[in-house]
Formats: sequence, C-alpha cells, structure tokens
Amino acid sequence: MSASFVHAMRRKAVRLTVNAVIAVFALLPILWGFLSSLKPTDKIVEFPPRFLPEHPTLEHYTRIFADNAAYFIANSVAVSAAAVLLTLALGALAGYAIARFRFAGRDTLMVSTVAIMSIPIASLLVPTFTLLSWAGLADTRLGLVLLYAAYQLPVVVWMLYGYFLSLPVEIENAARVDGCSPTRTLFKVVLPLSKPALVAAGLFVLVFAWNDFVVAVTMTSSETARTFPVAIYFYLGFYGREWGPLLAASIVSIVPIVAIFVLLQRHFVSGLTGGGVKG
Amino acid sequence: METRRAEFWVPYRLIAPAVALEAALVIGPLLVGFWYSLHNVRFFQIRSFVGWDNYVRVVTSPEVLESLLATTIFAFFALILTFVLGFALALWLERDGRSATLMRAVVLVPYMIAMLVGSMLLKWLFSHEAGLSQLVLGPLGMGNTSILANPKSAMAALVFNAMWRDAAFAMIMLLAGLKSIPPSLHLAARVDGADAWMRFRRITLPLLRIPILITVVRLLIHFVNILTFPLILTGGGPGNATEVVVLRMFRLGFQDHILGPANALAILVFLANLLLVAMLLLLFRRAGRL
Amino acid sequence: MAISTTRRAALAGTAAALAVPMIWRRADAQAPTTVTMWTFLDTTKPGGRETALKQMVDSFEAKNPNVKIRVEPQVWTTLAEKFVLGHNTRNAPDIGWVNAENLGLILNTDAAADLKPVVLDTWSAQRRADLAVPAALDAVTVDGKVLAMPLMAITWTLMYRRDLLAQTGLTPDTLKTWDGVLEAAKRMTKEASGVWGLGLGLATERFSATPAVLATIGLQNGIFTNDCKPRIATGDAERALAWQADLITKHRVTPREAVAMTSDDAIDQFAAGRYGMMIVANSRFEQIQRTAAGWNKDDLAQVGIPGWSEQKGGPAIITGWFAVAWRNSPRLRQAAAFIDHMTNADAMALWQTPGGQVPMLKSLAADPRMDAPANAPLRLVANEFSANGFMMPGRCNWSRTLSDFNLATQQVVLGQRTAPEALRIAERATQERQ
Repeated sequence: MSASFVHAMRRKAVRLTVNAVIAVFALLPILWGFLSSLKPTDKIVEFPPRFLPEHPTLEHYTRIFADNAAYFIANSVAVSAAAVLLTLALGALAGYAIARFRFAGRDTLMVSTVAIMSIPIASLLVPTFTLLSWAGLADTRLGLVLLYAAYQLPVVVWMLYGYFLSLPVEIENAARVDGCSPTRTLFKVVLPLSKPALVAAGLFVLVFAWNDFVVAVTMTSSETARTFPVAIYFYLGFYGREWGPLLAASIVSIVPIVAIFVLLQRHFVSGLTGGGVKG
Repeated sequence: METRRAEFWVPYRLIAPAVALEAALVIGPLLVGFWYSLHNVRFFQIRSFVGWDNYVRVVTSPEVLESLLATTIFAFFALILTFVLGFALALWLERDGRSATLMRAVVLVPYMIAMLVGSMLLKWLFSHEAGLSQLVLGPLGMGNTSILANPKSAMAALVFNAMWRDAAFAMIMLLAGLKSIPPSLHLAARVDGADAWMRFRRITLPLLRIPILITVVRLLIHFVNILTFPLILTGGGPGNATEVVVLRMFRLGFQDHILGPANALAILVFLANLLLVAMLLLLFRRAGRL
Repeated sequence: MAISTTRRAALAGTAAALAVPMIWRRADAQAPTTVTMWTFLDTTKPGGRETALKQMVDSFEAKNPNVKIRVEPQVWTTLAEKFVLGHNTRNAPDIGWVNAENLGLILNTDAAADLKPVVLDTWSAQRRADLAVPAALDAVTVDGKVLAMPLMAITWTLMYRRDLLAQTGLTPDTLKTWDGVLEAAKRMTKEASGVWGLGLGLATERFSATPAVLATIGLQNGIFTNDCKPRIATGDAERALAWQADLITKHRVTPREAVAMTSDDAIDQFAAGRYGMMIVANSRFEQIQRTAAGWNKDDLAQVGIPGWSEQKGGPAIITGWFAVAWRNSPRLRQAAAFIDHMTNADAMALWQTPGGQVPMLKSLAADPRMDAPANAPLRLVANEFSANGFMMPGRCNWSRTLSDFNLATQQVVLGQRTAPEALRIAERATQERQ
C-alpha cells in the first residue's frame, strides 16, 4: 500500500469523524424527539429513559391527523406561501429602487430598514392586535400574511438590494432604451436573473412564517385561521401536556420545510452570494 | 420634460407599497406602544397619563438591571461562539461534493425547525431528572450535574441553544461570502508560498468583511431580542439568572398585565439596539480603513 | 371603574372609518342569531368535558331554535387577555371563559356585563341555596354587579402514591400536616432507585401552587388585605418558605433541579414514578393516571392540602373556570341565556357526568351516585371545598403571585437571598401588578 493511499484514508477517516460529530450535535435532540414520538404515552416519560422505542407505534401520528392537522397544515402552507410571495414582490420593488435610483430619502430608507429589524416583535403584539382588530383583520389569514411580510420585509429588501447591485447594469439599460418601463425591466430582465437571491430571501421568510407561534396565537382565535404551530401548542393543554401528539406534530412540521431546503439548497447559497459580498 | 418628471417619481412608486406596509404594521404599532408607555395601563386599559414615569420606573427597577446584565452576558457569549462555530462550519463545508452538501443540510435542520420545539427538546435533553443528560453526559463523567439548576450552567445551556440553532445561519451567510472569493486568489497565494493561516488572514478575512458585518449585525439583533430560548429552555431561571430583557418585557406585558412599563422597556430596548448597530457599523468602517 | 376613553378619543377617527365593515359583518350574522363563545374546550373532540359542553349546546339550540352557539376553542393561557383586548377594540366574543387566576382582568376592566339582572335575579331562592361554593360567586361580585358565573371548580390537592406510602409504614392520616408530609417524604426518598419524596415545580414559567403558597395562606388566612395589598413579607410566609426550601437543601427529599422545572415537568416526573407525593391541581388526576409509567395507576391517591395542625386542614383554594358575557355584545340577552343554561341543574349534572367535574350543587354532591368508588376523587374535593374552601379575592391580581413564591424559593435554595429578602421582593412584585 502506498503512503499516499494511507494518507488519503486517514484524511477520509478524520473527515468522517468530524462530520459524524457535527451530525450528532445538530440532530440528536431532534432524533430523540422523533424516537419518543413513536413510543406509547406511558413510555415517553419513562425512567430511566430508553433511547429506542420498544414497541414503536404511530398512534400519535394518527391522533394529530384525527385532530384536523391536515387543515392547519394547509392553513400554514397558504399563509407561508402568500407571505413569501408578498414579501418578495414588495422587497424586489423597494430593493430595486434603492439599488438603481438616487432619490431624496434613499439614505433614510436604508437606515430605517436596519432600524425596523431592531424592533423586538414581542413588544408590538398588543398594539398590533388593537390595530388589526380595528381594521377587521384580526383572526384572519390575510392579517397574518401582512404581518409576516411586514416583519420580514426589511431583511428581504436588504438582501435583494445587495444582489441587484451585483448584477451588470448594462442589460437593464438596453431594456430601458428599448422602451421598457422600470417596473417592466425589473420583472422581465432583473428578476429572472435574480432567481437564486429570490430563493434565498424567500427561504428566510418561509422559515419565519412557517414556524411563527407568538404572532399567530395572539392575532387569531378561530379554528378557521389557525396555523399549525398554534395547533401544536394546543397539546400543552389545561389538563396536561401531551408529549406524544406534541412531538408527532413537531416532527411533521419539520418535514416539509426540510424537504424544501434540500430541494433548493444549491440556489440558497449562491443566492446569498451577490448580496453577501457586494452589499 | 414630461419623462423627466415621470422618472422622478419612479423610485417613490417602487418603494411605496413596502413603506406603506411597514408604516401600517410596524411603525404604527410602535407609536401606539410609545403612547402606552406614557400612560398607566392597568389590565390592558389606559387609566391615566403619567409622562415619563414608566421610564423612570423601568430604569430604576433592580429586576430590569439584572435582566440587562443577563442579556449582555448571553448576547456576548452567544454572538462569539455562534459566529466562530458558524465560521468553522462554513470553512469545513466550503468545498462542494456530496458529503459537504448533505452536511450543510444536516446543520441547517435546527435552524429550520420552530424555536419553540427546538428549545423544548433541548430542555428535555438537559434535564438531569428525566435522565437524558445522564444518558448523554454520563460517559463524560458529568452525569451528576443538573445543568438547568445552576445559574451559570443554565446560562451556558442558553448559549448552547443559540449555537445549536443559529450557527447554521452564520454558516450559510459566510459560506455565501466564501463562495464568491475567486479561487485564483488562493492559488496565487499558494504559489507564493503562503500557508493556510496566512491565506486565511490575508485573503479570506478581508474579502469577507461585508458578509461578516451582515452576519454579526443580524446575529446581534437576534440575540439581544431573544425571547423563545429563555422562555422555553430556562424560564428565566434559576434565580432570574437567565431572565433576559425581552423576556422581562414579555412578562410585564403579557403576564403581569402592566403595559406601561412593558412598552417603556420595549422602546428603550429598541433604542439600545439602534445604538449597538450604529457602533458596530462605525467599528467596521474604522477596521476597513486600517 | 375607569374606561379607556383616552385612547378611544385619540383613535376615534380610525374607529369611525372602520365601523362600516363592522356593521356589515354584524348584519351578516343576523338570522338565526349566532352566539360566539371562547372556551378552552373543543366540542369536536372526544372527552367527558367536551361531550358535556356539546350536549349543553345541543339542548340549548333545541330549546331556542333561533339561536346558534358557535364554540371557538382557544389556547387557554391567553383566553382572558384576548377577551379584554377584543373588548377594547369592540371585537370580543359574546361569551368568554376566564380562569380564576385571571379574574382580575375581568373585574378591573369594563369588559364584562353584569349578570345579576339577566341571570342571577331570575334564579329561585332554592336554586341559589343549592350552590355548593357560594364563595365563588361572592368573589366575582363588584359593587353589587356579578361579572362572571362559576362553571367548573378546581383545587389543588396533595396527590401521593399509595404503594410508596404503605412501604413507609405511615398512614394517610400522617399527610394531614406539613410535618407529617415531611416525615413521609423522608421515608419515601430512595436515592438509589431515583425516587424522591415530594415533587415540586419551581420555575417561574408554567407554574402552579406549591406548598409555600398554600402553607402561607393556611397560616394567615390569605395573602391579600381587603384592598388588595399583598401580605407576603411576613413571619408566617417566612416559615412556609423556609419549610419549602429545606425540602431541597436540608432534607434532600426534593431534587435540586426542581428550581428549573415547570409544573408540567414535575407532573411528568411524578407520572414517571419519580416522586412519592406532589401538590397538583385535581384536574390533572386523570392525566397522571393515564401516563403512569412503571407503577400501578390505581395507586394514585389524593388528600386535601395539609395544615400546620391536625385540627385545621390547609386551604382548598377555589380555582377553575368562569363564564363572562361581553358587555357590548349585541346578543347579550341570548348570551346570558346560554350562560344560565350552562349553570342550571341539568348542566351541572352534565359537568359532573360525563364531565368528571366536582359537583357544584349541594343536591348533586348529596346524590348517592357520588358514593361510587370511581367518584372518590371528586367526592374528596367536594368535601374539601365545604370544609376548607377558600377563594382568592377576585379583584386582586394574583395571576403571578404563585410564581413570585417560586422565585423566592429559587433564590433561597441558590443562596442568593435570605427568606425575608426574597419575600420582600415577592411582595413588591405582586404589589406592582395591582
């Protein structure tokens, strides 16, 4: 066996070990949650704990779907998707204006973007509920969409602005000379080139909207507008904490978002690139 | 002339929807919150105007001062450790290939799941009584420590929670920066005989200045405003050791039902955030000139 | 009682502008009249309480064909807050449920309608006399107005494991005093097998009543003066707090990690067989039985809250759920009728079976069916209510006072403060919420 082969093997072993450590660090708590979700109720809090379920059961998964989980998931999907689209649309318009136009108030706008990011959302809940109620938007999915968009817009503007800056301006100029309006140029020329950035920014909005609990539980009350995280919280009930369905629902809530991330991962990193470096 | 005028309004038309949304749903509530902060608000109803009294009450409250200390400790360690870990992960997983791609996805999982769920699972894992920390820490000879029952280790657990979830965020932001450094630069440096550390210092770090700034600013804002981690993982305890300022504010508003001081505190936290971000920007600008 | 006129005036313009869609929405819900009720129960789910409420809705709708009851289940922790917030923006449901800890929100605002003329005054003297816990009604009466109606009464009891107690050679009578509880806890604690004598959840999040609070109330007959001034920095409270802290530091019958455990965490541990005893709300009895792991669920038993002497039992604090009608409801008459319906003799029987609630009427408590062994836990609570029932004054905000005691215990256990210092902090914290 040659020395270089041994060297390569050793490197591979080191790499594998480090990767294994990272994976355990990241996934152990979630794995524990998943394994526990497969245990019957009386085994979940058993002492001393057993890592693997003795008699795996899907009863908690059956239970959450009997509790209408499909409807709440659909609600979450609708609200998250709408929030992502709305945020990207408004963010693209504003980001484009900042990237390509010099206008009075531009600097103020950029500073306010950062300022708005620094507001603790928890402090806005009570006043927001009041305003939303007055506008007739409390307890509606539309209200949630608007709020999520409002909270995530500053970050998205920032990211898209950076990415737009990194694009060559010549193509846009050509389109403008051909008689395209700025908005048309944005949608026909700039956005198609910005797919990776849109994906990256969209994913940040998605993570927020999909997982939000605090805003949704304050702003909604009826089952019609209930999102999945709020439904999950119902398992922390007045008559006790139901670990089984709680964990099962949590695991179910992880699956779609992980799937989307894995699917779009390539774009995700490259989408941040432009914004990251030239911002 | 006509087109000129049309052109003048274009950027304003583009930003109008975004500005309107922010004005209605962020600035509006912020102002209402400010209005609350000037009043005695009992049980969610305004009783009387009290001027700056709530602010005085808040800044002289020993609990609030304690919570500021907790926030400072948490944000400081969480920021440094999360950033370093995120940077290390980014460097480790920079090269393409199937295993790196898979590992990036693995690291991102804690970031993608709901913070509520993540912190609940970690609490379970850290619990000595539930026997899980014995399962995990036992082999390390730490099976007998109750992490969450001691103020210092509870704070460490909170910082761990931050690292666990947010290192992935730092990683992804920095990874994007790393990707945009032309490989030719590293190659040239290697030809010139620069070792790995030298290349990191002279090429990677300077070119990553902006991504680093963005990552640090966003992490800092996130950590200073943290609520879910302490609310779920430590409940602010033991002995208020992990009751950070936003948790204090949340409790004043939603559990004590005294919105005046809660909103006064919120406004102060907001101003402090702005100050911090401004300081960071200045710091980076100065560092950039050197 | 002050009204939030200031803000209303300031934002009157907005409100006026938005009144139009609201009127439209109201008109939309005209025929038949729909009464909306916020509760933590979900009538579409199985379960005794849910079934009981469902049957009440059905019988009410059968009797009043023009009225529909829409039950909107809510996260129980934010129910009362959202009711008042909804009232502030003129968007509250017609009926809301409020737990005893949050009655302050209702009694200190103008959100609730006076139910005396529309409900209570329509009652016969006999129906009033039949109430098993009239104190619950007194506590929600402000200036002659009755602002809520009690639906379910819940209290804390000392739950224990029969098997573990039997091993100590002590009898359940020992558990009548705090000293007896300590003795039993010492004998039950077996570090080798991981069993602690007495479980506690001392976190300041998702907290519940602990011995320190109950022992203080037992000693000084309450923790508030008539005008809601807290009485917590007292010698009696010191004694109670020291007793509780000693469980961890001196006697080691409670795990140190209790300072970081929520009430839910501790109940999980109890169900997992780790504790011999714990103070738990009687509403959790069923859940602990259901999740009992590693021990026979039939060994779960309960007694009333201990006292400091055998002669005087500890307080059976009356908590639970109340129904509130929204003062500005356009359907106040129908809402009141349904609240009356949820509190009449038939409904109270339903809350008891299948609801599994403590009988709220004397006639129900005296019913021979209550003597069935399955009803023993409820019987015990009913007896405790009549012997030691204690209602916190509704107007005083004690929603987080239980947590103030927890923080004080944490501070003493960690050695950060002495008991008097910690109690002074707790008293100030409670005072600031009034």
